[in-house]
Amino acid sequence: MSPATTASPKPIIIRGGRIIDPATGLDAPRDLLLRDGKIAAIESPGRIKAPGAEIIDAKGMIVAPGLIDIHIHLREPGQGYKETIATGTAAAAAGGFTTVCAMPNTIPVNDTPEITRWMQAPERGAAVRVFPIAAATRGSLGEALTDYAALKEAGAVAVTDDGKPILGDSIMLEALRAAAKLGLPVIQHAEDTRLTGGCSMNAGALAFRLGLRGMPVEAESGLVERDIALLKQVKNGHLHVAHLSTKKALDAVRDARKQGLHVTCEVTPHHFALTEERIGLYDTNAKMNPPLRAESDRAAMIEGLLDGTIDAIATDHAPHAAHEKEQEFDRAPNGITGLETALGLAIQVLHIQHKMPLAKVLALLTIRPAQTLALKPQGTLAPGAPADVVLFDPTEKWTFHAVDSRSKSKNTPFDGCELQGRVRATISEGCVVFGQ
Amino acid sequence: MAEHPSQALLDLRTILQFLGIRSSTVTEKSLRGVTLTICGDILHSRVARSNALLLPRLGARVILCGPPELLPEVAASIGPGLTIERDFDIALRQSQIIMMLRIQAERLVGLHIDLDDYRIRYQANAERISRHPHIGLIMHPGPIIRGMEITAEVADGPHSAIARQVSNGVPIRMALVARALSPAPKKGAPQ
Repeated sequence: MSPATTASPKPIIIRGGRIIDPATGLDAPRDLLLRDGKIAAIESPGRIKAPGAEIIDAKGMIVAPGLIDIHIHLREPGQGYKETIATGTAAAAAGGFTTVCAMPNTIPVNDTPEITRWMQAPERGAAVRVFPIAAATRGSLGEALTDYAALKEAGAVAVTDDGKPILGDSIMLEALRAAAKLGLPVIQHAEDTRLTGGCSMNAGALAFRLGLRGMPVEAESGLVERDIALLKQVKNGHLHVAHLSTKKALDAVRDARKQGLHVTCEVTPHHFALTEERIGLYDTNAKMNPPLRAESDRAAMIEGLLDGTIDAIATDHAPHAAHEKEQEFDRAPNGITGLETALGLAIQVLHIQHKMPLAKVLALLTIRPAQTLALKPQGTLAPGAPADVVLFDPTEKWTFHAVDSRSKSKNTPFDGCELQGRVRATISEGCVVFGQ
Repeated sequence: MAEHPSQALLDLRTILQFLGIRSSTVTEKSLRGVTLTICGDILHSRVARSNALLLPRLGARVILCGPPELLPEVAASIGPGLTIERDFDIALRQSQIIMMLRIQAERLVGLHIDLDDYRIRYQANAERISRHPHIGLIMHPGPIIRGMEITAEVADGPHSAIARQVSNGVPIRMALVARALSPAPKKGAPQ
């Protein structure tokens, strides 16, 4: 649950940085004191005195709440050859993340309080805080609900059958009702798999040219629309749409919000940075689910991020071993890594290309995902909050090399990509878990 | 790209032989006035994509024919000179050359095709071909499913180019290997 530390760390003063805390609206030069794993003080430059404290010089840096990723795959238990909780959270720390939510499609599926607790045990060696998201149905088979109360008690922050969407109307309705009683969100990977058999990319002319079966956008939007219709029947229900990728589904979320429904959604960096063209000649590092879409869908994701319809940037970090990705495109598994490139892509695409203020970019990576899954008190630098902090240089240009990744897997379409905005240090509950 | 370029080149050689055109004289107008129908499982065919991209570059009109499950509308968008016709007989009426494709059952995953209905609508059989006497060349890249997309009578009949296609594969692939192993041609030299 907490980072792998033994004794309480020395106090830390972060001096001379520009603090951006979207939760409180603060954007000013401030010094920060971290003590006993908490934010102890936030003061004008030079005013904090703490004898014996370690000093971190943050000149020229932005100091922000540690980033929060509400959708990642840590592969443990069961697939330690792809990633472990230790390596995945090390990659998270390198990317500036101090809180990650781990999906339940492990082996076995995380559908019990025991596995949920196992994932949070200190023995896993997590570098940052891990919140498990538990399976919504037993074995994620879409048949019988898991014990939501017990899972919540064990630390689960949401339920989902991610990757195996809940197609049955009555079981989805049951899930929404049971989760609503406990204040848990139901996260849906919106894909009507009855329409996507044998598909490995977005439907359209490119799929035909490549000779690949394509997923129609309706496979996503249709299930989002169905889920919204079900949510109307549930008092206090909360539907969260995972990795939204199509304009049509985004429009459905926007409409539902206008009707006052509690529907939230996230988008991945790759869906706002890339289009299906990136597949090129069958690059399996550009294969994921939902697939990269057309330019019109990518533009809609940017618009949704700018207008606030999209609540969070989430990476869907999905590590796979090289031998799994090195096969025919339609046989290769879906998914790419994403923890170490998320901040750079968000700054590059949203801040630089689309002029989104940095505070808003950071909100999508901190307080808004925290609010989406009710991860209080994470996501702010307010005194008393966990000492989760990221320091980054917003102007530094750098090249991401997959070979240098802390993740066990290197399956990324961003290898060799030039990015702007580089993480300099990540502090999780008062401990420096990444620094360069 | 899902393509089969060496098959398209040997198919072109077969077509040129049929029309009596010498390979060395081929220009972008050589196939002007020629209409060719490619019929069958175009969705899964690399052969169809390569021919559909190559033949219009030499002036041919290419009709793609098949049911929507095996021939999506986007197929016509991959290059110029392509049209889609769902009715095989209407396509045949306009064609001098036809190219039949087998249904790639191993790639259907979840697609359901009514094979009896398919035979009625899209099979090249003697009775149907005899109604279109202007058709001079019937091609098929193989493997053939006799009795499905084409009957034995047509596959072994007087207009069949299938054996010729197979034998043309040898010199075409020899030429491709020779070219691949040769030094790059000098800039400005004819390609």
